[in-house]
Amino acid sequence: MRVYPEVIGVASESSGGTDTLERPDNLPQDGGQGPVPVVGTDTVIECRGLTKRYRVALGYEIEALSSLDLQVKRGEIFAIVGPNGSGKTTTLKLLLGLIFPSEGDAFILGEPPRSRRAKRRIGFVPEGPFFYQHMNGEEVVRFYGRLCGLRGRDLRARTDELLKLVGMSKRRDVVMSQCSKGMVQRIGLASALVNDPDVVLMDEPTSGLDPIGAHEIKELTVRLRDAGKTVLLCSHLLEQVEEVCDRIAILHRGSRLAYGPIDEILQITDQTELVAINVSEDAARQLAAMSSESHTRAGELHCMIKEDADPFQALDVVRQGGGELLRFGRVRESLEDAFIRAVTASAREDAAISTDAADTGGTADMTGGSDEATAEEGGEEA
Amino acid sequence: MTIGYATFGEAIRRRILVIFLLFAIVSIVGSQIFKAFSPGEEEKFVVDLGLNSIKWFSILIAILLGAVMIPQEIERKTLHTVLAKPVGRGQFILGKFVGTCLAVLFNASLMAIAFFVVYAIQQKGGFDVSLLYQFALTCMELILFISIVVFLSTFSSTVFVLVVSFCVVVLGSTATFWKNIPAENEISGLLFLGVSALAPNFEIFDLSRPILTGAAIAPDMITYPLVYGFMYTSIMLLLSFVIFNERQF
Repeated sequence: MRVYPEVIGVASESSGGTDTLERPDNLPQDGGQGPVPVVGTDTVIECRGLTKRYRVALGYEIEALSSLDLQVKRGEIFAIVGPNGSGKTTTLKLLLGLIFPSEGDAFILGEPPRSRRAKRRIGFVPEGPFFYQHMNGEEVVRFYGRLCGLRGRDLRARTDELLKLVGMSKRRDVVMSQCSKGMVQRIGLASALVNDPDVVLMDEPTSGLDPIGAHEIKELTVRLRDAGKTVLLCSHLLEQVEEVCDRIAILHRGSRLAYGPIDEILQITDQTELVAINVSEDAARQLAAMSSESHTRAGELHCMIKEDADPFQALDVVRQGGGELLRFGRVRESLEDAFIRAVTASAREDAAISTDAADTGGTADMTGGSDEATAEEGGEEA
Repeated sequence: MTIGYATFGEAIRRRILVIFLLFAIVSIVGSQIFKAFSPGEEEKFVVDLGLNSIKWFSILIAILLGAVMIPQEIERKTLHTVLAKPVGRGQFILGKFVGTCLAVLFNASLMAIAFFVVYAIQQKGGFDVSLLYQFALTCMELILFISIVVFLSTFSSTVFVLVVSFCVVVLGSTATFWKNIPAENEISGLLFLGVSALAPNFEIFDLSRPILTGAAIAPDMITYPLVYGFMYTSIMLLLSFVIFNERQF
């Protein structure tokens, strides 16, 4: 752990054992117009039928996002997952007011996306951020701090705090043109947090980072949630998302395929996993015969008991073979499995619709079964 | 102003800008050598070359800076991180405009200092105040021109901005020609009228004739171009705000 030693536990050093980042004193307080209203009691981000179409050549349109409904609650880590081109970044751009919806509405902290009141309380970490090349890391953070209204001593203190938090305090003088991808990502994160946002939007936050860097970003994300922030992150790295998020939405080709708490989305499979040590050779052979998959790693025997086999019989085999049981239980599917399941089901549905349409006279284009058909129905607005 | 300072900081570090600045200064200082080619009109030669060097090299710098400033921010997505902060789109455009103006005027000022020194040496310590008036008008002309470049870059690519900016320079510097050109038919007449009405008139910022002939400079020769430049710049910035406000990134 020679690299980036500052990150882990740095907040404990600087703030007396808590992970909470202190809010800078002189941040503008919503223009003195009182607290910003939020949709409902706990909803921080809300999308209602959010649709985005892009006009392409010859009057054709493609639908990048299709009637997306979702709510992100205060203090949770919500992930939008999906492959490239599924509409993740489009959703973030709509929430930031960088693009405008073709249909539907989006609210962030109860305000429309382009509201400056809301933006005072938002932090955004883009995928592969690019900053002014002549500035060094410290200058970049200070630049974004000034855009948020921070000045003088508060800005200096906040910049120091954040550079320390992201592990860049010793490399603050490196100009952006000489920074590695990981360093730029860290500076991007510090810049996003400079206004002590209530909501942090992250687009592929671990993109381009080495495993240590990715792990640190993951830890930081959890710490942000623990500090009461709401995090909305978009990623196609399902394994990383699965570890940190509370709820997810799975997007595929602009449509929402699944949505809800991660524990509800990830199904318990019919397979039973058994892990044991010190199992005799004979018992291991018996277990292998009962398993669809078995292997030994670091002295541990890992078995996936066949669905038609009795898992309790496998337990008896371990006991009789003098082994010691380490883990035994039903396997929960991974997010990757859930994602593939959702996409496959959607593809099957699409195929069924197309087949039905073909059977009824080749009107597939009129049923909305393809992207092109859906886009054409949208008319001019893009 | 934060965006303006950042733009200025980025602009003055561009190598191409330093190269143009050096060319301009070499040209201004070189006028002391080349004036020998205009016997009897050495002063006119130095003034003419000096003023034109300041103007044309500054316009080149303005085109090259202005054409890349906004499209590059969009292309590199720096704009996303800026607009994610509580910054209005109008503020962004204004910041880019101010930063580009600062960079171009900073360079023009360095050229002007070089020219004034060369002129003072030529005049053995003497100085003509009308040269300062001309420099002020050149600055206004550059500001106006930058506002046009910023306007163009709010909706188009770098290459388009470069091409159209050059056209604007040509049209603006030949405004009288377009106004007085005899039309062969109604269509060409309307075209010439449209060009002369819409294109900026850069000729009104030129005081070189009275300066070179020693004629008096009337107050309206200063105030009219300043008011004209201010109005034109305001309209260009307003249009830039409107267009940029509706753009999607």
